[in-house]
Amino acid sequence: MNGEYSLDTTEGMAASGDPPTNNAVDDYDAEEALERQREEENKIKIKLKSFEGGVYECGLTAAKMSVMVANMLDALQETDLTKIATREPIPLQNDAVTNKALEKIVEWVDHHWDDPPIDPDFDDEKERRNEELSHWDKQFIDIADQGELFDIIAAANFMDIKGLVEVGAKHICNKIKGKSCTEVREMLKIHNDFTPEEEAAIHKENEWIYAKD
Amino acid sequence: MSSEAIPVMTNTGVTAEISLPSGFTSGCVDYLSDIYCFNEKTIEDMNLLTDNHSKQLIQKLSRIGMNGTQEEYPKDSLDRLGDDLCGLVLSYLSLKDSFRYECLSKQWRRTVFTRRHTLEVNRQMFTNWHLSDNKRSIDNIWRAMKSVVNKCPNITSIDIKIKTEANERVFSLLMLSSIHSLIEIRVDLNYANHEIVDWVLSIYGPQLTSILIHTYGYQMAKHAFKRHSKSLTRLRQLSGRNTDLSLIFNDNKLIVKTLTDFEFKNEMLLDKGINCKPHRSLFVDNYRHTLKSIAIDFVVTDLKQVIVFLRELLKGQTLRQISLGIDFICLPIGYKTYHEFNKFLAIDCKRVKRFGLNLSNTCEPKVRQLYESMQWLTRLQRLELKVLCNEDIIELTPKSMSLLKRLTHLSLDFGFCVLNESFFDSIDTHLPFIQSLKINSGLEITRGIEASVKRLSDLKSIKKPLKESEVVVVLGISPEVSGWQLCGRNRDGIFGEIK
Repeated sequence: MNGEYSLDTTEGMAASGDPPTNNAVDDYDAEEALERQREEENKIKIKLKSFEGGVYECGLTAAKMSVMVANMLDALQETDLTKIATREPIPLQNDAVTNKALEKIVEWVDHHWDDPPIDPDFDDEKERRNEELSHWDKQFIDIADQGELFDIIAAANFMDIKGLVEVGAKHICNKIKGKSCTEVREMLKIHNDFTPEEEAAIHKENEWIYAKD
Repeated sequence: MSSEAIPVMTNTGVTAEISLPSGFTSGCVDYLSDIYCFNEKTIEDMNLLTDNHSKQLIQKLSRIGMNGTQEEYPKDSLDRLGDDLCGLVLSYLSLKDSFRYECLSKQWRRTVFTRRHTLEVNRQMFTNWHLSDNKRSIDNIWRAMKSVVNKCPNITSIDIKIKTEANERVFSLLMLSSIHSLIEIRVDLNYANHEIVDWVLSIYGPQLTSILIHTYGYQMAKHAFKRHSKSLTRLRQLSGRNTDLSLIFNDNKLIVKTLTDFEFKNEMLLDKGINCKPHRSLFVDNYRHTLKSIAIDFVVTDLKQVIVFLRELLKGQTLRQISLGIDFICLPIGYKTYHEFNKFLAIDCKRVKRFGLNLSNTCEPKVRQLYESMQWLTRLQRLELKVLCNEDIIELTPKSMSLLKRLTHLSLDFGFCVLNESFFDSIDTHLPFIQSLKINSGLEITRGIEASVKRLSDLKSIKKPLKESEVVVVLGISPEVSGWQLCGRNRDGIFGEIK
């Protein structure tokens, strides 16, 4: 072992005192500080109002998982965050945001607000798409009333909560996996607006899907 | 235009004036007033309009654009979703199901392929036939690919395993059809002979972003790679099996300089790649500030060399992922070696977010020591530990990992060696953020373990190879835990579950 690549302890320690190393430690501190701030902000409760008029309370950080709500809060340009808590409830003007849907949405963001953020160092988009739902999400989204389920998905889409839309989408796609077209139509109450000829033509186009080796 | 105000009245008698934000042409006006007069009923809506808050108006407009006729659809019908959202939901279908369900309704036909951005060409793609070279299969692949190319206009990323001439043609077709939109092109040349490697790299080399190559038994493939390595200007990921650093060098000159991920595995040879000092220092000089991930796997004769190499790379601050496979068979298991390694982990690896360690021919106390040193890697998100040793039992505790608040993925693979059952007892209090847990050990799954694991609320995937008797236990108690998969057996079964 010669000088260029020394394993000497003192040099190893010195390396961690290099300026760039310090920057990285600062990065880390900044991340920690941001986490603490998110934690503090989530103690502030804001009110959201459904299309039906029901008002629901929600942590600020959790509420900001909705890009739409985050934008609306930004537009207020309120520097004193505690004042947000005493403001009028934020109205959510879409008929999918029913009382029931908003209650579920608040439950979801309250559980997920401290999820690890997307790390720009890694490209995991594909992995995330293919991941199964967590135990918690599975139980959360297993809703008997399909109208309510669609309300939640449409409302989450309106409010721009990507994670929740994904949970709903994965749930629906899981449910119909392996089912026949007739079964899926029945299940999701899809109106077949093709003429029999049109449908047959599409079947013919995709015939190869059923081909065997 | 922007100051123009239009009086409107809703069907419940509420009146207001709408001023259009700039950017909206007068063509919108009739449409807008129609929609607002007849579809919206509340005074809040009208207030919203008169506020002239363009952001909100745009949001409403886009909603109307999507769901303008929503009143027609029952609440529990998927038809009520707008095309945009429908396309997003359907993007989670498998490719095969997308084709099967295209005939459900006009909306499905319009939207089922619009959000499909990635395409993986492999034998699991359409499970009832394989990408083999027989005539009938080639015809099928050809029809399938033409369909895919015609119907999925928004593909930005391709993953393809190129092994035979049939795949070679498929690849050409894909490249020709979507050449302008492709951002990621990953080719797996692991099973390709040198002629195919040569052909792929000579034509498409400058476009490829990721290459997997296996040079064992195909030294010619390595030469083919080197012949074209100058043209690989977009290459970011390179994984070479049975090769070393020299793969990206020509006559002691570093040729491939754009990588962010580099992996080389060398099960047969000793660590000569790392020991080649000119290569090593040229590599470090070029990659110190750009490499994000490195994976090295070989039989080690001198661990210090590896540590020195990684330490130099880590000084550049960008390396976030390290995967090390070390076979200690040629190395005396001395206190000093492990001490150096522990020190390296604690001092140099602080900023590493993903760490994989695959140790062969080691012993239990050393493994435990290394496992415990991992707690100094405070930013760790993923830890993979694979150990091959001759012990019967290995005793670990999740508590030693509890300092790692960001740890979401944990994989422990001990082969037949048994992990202590108590490891699972309080796993949910020490590692509450775990999303993925893979355990492979001689330990049998019991109801107790299952109950503990189920308390991890964020868990998305559990993998543990199950013995025949355990399958019954797990499936018997809780059929809803579909995450328990049979690893290592019936591999096609896992991927080929789509009927």
